[in-house]
Amino acid sequence: MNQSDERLHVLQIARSEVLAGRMSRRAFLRLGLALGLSAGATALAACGGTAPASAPTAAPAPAGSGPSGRLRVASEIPVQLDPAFASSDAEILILNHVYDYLVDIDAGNNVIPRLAREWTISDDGLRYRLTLASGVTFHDGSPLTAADVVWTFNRLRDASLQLPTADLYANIADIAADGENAVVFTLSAPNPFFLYDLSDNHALILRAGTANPATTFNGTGPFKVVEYRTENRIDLAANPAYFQTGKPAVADLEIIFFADQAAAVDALRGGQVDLVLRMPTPLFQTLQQTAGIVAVQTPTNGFDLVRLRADREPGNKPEVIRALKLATDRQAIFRQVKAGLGAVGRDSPIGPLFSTYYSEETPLPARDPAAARALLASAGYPDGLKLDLHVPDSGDRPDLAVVLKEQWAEAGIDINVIVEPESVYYGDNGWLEVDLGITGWGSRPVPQFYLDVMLVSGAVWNESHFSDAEFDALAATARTTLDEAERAHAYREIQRILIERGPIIIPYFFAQLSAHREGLRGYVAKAFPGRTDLAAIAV
Amino acid sequence: MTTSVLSVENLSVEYYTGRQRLPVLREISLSVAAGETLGIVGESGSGKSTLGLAILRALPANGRISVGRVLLDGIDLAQTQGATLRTLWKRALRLVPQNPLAALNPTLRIGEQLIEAMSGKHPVAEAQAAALLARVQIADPVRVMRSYPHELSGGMQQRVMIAMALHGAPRLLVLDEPTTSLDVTTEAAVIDLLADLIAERQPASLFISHNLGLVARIATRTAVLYAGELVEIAPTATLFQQPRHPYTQGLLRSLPHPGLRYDYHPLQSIEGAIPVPGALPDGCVFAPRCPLANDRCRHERPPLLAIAPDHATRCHYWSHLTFDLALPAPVTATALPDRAPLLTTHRLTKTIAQRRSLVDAARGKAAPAVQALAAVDLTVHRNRTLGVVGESGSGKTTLARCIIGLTPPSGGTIELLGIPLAPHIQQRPREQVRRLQMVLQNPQEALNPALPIGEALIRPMIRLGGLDGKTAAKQVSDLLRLVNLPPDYANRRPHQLSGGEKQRVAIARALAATPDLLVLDEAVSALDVSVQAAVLNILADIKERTGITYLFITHDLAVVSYLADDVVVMYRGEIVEEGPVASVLNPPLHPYTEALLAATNPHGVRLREAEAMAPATGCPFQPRCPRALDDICRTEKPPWREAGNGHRLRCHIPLEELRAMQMSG
Amino acid sequence: MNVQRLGRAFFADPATAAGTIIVTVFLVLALFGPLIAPHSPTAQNADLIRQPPSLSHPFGTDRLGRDLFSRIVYGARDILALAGGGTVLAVIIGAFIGISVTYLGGWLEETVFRLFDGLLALPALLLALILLGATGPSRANVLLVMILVYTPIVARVVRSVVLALKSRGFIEAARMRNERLGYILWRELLPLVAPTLAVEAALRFSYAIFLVASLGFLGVGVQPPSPDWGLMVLEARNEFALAPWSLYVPAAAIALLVIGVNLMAEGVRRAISDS
Repeated sequence: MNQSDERLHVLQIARSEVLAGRMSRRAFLRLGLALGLSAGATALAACGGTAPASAPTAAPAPAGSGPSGRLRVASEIPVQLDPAFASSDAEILILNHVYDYLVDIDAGNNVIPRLAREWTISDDGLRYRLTLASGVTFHDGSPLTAADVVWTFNRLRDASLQLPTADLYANIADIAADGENAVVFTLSAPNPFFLYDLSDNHALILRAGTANPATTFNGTGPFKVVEYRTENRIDLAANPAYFQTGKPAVADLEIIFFADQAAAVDALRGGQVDLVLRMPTPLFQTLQQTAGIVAVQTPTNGFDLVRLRADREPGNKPEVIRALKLATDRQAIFRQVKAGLGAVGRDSPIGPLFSTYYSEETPLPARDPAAARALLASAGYPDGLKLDLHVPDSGDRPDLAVVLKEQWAEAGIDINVIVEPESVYYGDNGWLEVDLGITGWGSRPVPQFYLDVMLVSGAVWNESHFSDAEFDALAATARTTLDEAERAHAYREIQRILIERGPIIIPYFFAQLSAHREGLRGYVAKAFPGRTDLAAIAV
Repeated sequence: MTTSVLSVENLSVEYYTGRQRLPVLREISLSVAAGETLGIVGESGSGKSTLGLAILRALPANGRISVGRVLLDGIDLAQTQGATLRTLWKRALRLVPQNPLAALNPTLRIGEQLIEAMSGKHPVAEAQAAALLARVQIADPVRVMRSYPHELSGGMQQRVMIAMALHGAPRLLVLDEPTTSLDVTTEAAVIDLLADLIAERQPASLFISHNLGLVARIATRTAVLYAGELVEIAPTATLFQQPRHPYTQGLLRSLPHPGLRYDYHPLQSIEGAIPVPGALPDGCVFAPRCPLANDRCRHERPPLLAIAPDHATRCHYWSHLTFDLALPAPVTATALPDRAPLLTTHRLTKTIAQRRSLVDAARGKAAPAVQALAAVDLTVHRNRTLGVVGESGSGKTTLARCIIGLTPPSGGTIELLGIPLAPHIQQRPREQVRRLQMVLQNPQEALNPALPIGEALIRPMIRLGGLDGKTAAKQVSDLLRLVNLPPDYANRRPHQLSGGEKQRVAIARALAATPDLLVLDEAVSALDVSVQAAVLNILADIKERTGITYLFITHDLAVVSYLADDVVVMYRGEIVEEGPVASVLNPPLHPYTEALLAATNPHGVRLREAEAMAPATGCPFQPRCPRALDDICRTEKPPWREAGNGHRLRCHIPLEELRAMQMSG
Repeated sequence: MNVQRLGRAFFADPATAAGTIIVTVFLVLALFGPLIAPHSPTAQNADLIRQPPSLSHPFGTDRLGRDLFSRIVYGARDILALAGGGTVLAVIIGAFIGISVTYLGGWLEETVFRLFDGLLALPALLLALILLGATGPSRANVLLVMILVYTPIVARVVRSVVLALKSRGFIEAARMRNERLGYILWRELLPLVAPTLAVEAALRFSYAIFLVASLGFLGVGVQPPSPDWGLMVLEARNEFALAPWSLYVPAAAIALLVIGVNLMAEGVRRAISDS
């Protein structure tokens, strides 16, 4: 691939994400979610990962006795339930249990089998042959065949339907059934991350010819829909014919909708639900001290990004960037804003979760407000800097802004905090325009995604307007090389560049905070809670 | 005298305000027989209304009978409580208040209220109510019973109140200024009706009024109250002819009796003001204002002395008092001076459009209009007083406001010294504004309560007299002296002044601009007679000294005959008679003027109440005219008839016939 | 003497006196905040997060390790300045419009007050939210919004008084001497409207405090890290189980101040209607 092809490729992927955000009904509000939370979607896996991975790591519920009991899970309110348009946590969580993906991604970001039990890839990387599990039936009793898979993916990539996935699968030249139980995908160009693409959030297998995917609910998944009450709850019952033995562990699954996370936590404490998948830090801390509740935190690679536009004053002065970094005490922020949950950041999106790539080789200079002040003076700001800091009103971002204001004040940087609703912050692409802003980024299974959409020159969501030739070259290497060592080296260099001159500060990585009542077995928290496997949980 | 129905013995009443106890009535004793009417007179603040309420046991919450008995048929009302009192209120005790509209429930039809008051069963009670309304001379009882209170005229409302008060067999009737809000003509009819009904139903009646003339007409005996004390009580005729208390005498001397003229007989006002409860003098309550008071009066409180079986007075020196009113001097009509008039109006017209309902507007009906002034030609001569009289609705006030420029006329012209005046006062040059000033009817709202008197007097001198502030301030004391007020009043605020003093300040303020013409719109109507006399004297005095011209608007013919040189009689926006006051009033020729004068006469002609709308054709007075001719009055506007000496009137009846009627009638 | 009597009537009532004491305490906090507060209202201490009340931090600390007592003290300054400033400006502008437009009358009065009626058709908080949504949250905009919300109310109250005064004799007397408009409006009418204005201002002030706190709580008022009491309640909402004092303290401050101002407003009303 030459340089311009690579750019085009990243752009295509990014655009599909934009579409995914834009085409959902709660466009603006959803954008943040789509940004952060569509974990399995469209990631550009760099590492090999092309071989079938090991079995799921989650401890399966004891088999034999058959499904029993009732599991009640709190969720936000889903807007619609057509897999092709699904984007929020709540929607994915429901659909993930009514339908199946071809392949899944485990808590360690590895590709694992689901409907596809095994697969082979041609040497030229263009032909993927996946073998389906045998004896799988839809809820209406009809058997799953390769034709259903072909139909599903043809629908997702049909340009005329304008689905958010059309761009993602544009590289597929042909999809064909190879007998009843195998499907062959032929690509136009090699894509080493294609298996991650196959596990995109939208890629749930439907029966061929399904007319109304949003209301039919005819999947192969572990649960059948009993009753769906909009804005209230969805009741599901165990699918006795589910192809994975031992799943589901419970006979009934109720997903109860809450508009407010605090209300969901109250319901957990009151015993009205068994499991809450997301919550703010203080509520989590409260639950940690509550008897009868198990609070579960999982590290993720999601983070809050403090970024300064580097293409104009004052961010185009390297001294200013360095001054901001010197004025920031990441440890203090981590304690104050995140209460020590998650991990301290090092100004690069390649977090400690990516253990093979994460590096502490380049030292992060210690906080030194005086030096920062001196740097500002040398950059032409002897009286310090005055900046507006735009912050969406979600999560802990307002607190992060307030702590930064206090820390930076010592270095002569006067911050005016402007807290905005997400609809305002993301609306009209304002977040790409402002000089100083805080944006939340969700967890991805591979780090390359962040570089390609957020930091390489001209990337669609390059909110800091960062443009650095050395960085771009390193990102391209990491994206294309088949040499794992070379990729790791490139990522180390990238971390160095970002610490030295990246116009971004990443003070911490989130932990995914969930909690359940005591007595629940088999729950494995995931970085993206929508892909939690509820079928593995026993009560 | 027969045994009395009502007997008030040694009654004292106190009001509580804050932590103070104010004695408002002290040791009142009186009795009223069945069918008898006792008049209660006195200035405002004398406690006459409180007496009525105390007797009815209807005092406000902060009032209390402290001592005394109120015996009605031998039952002490002062000791009666609860159900007994309620039964008495329902059966025996009745009140006709001053303001009928406030006493009637605005949301209920008259019929419902009457029936409720009579607490009867429907079909029977309805017939009784209708009969009762007929008895109070309501021509169409059925229609009135279906009406809401606001749909009735003031006179009709008061008749309804009287009907309510007189159903069944009332034992005690308190009439508290029952006709004060009515026109003289209506008042006369209502008084006649009351006298009739009292004779018929035989309640013991108290007639409370500040109007001595009215009391003289209806009351058999009269009690005079002053500062919460009964100072004199006597049969009415005796009281009026041989008053034995200086206060009673003062009141009578303050009245502008027929035949008195400002230039020959200055009225005798009572100097000073009535003391407030809580600040009563030690001796005789009247001593501070009494011209005869000596040390004894100031220290020793006189008892109520019975000087005759039916005459008692609270004066140490009653036997020294003499009383005779100055004899009327023969008055000759003065001819109009043959000079250029000060102010003229030519065909001055004012049409007031009334609001129409949305329904009427949607139907395309034109908004109904009322002719407040219908082509009025008026001439005001320099250094004379022109009286303008007429009932309410005659257009007198509109005329004044058009002249001053507060209300723009709809048509016609006003000329001041031959120069036409702009319709709005804002459009008139300062000099014209200065020459025309007005004193308004209500002294209570004439002065801004937030501003000291001095400032109120300074402003016209600055704005109209062209003086600077300092020069104007120096003249304030002169102005105050002009209206007989001490100079230190300049620093007072309006709430520290009595009503009469406020009106004097209002007059002084109008005079501050040194106007040529001063319009006085009912300027003395709201004042007590003694105060009114003082103000009338001041006006006469100022006219003599400054040569000012007055346009004196009033409904009170006695005041007009006392003060005015010329008079204009208005009816429904038109002038029906005008000329020198002596010719117009003595004897009256126009049937309307005649009726106005007769209203104060116990046996004069009585008018029906005016219709809502004026007749479309003919003489506007014709529907009520007792002397109307058959056809011509209904179809044709009456012609002007010259009666000589500048006296003229509009009537179809020839002058000779009118004169003959006066001779015979 | 008049003022004395007014003062005596005012303090005669124990409830009024209590209200006055409460408001005075908060005023002192606001005026001498820097002398009273032991810490900066925004100073954070990562080692003293969510400390319960103690001698060094009488009201405890919040999730960022800020001293709540100092935040309350400085917050008093904010809320009193905003609510007080908004009230004073609304009363001044409302009185100006109410007196002059009502006196002038005609189509001007009709237009202005129809417009005001339209504004008043919306509840104050909703109107404030709409306006702040359009202008964006900031201290100046909160002040502006309070003026916009309360001016029509004040103007309408003033109008009812002026309408009754307009036809009084002394106003006609002023017209009869070609009096200057300014003199009629400000020398004749204003002193008579003043008692009503005083009552209205006191009443508006208590509403204004509540409005500022509500806007803070809804996150559209004063922006963090300002120690706005309403904002403090909002931020402490999720902390309740961890640090209940961080919710109780600002909530109690709001309640106490509103009660104090209400008691005082009632006292003003009674004192004026009594004398």
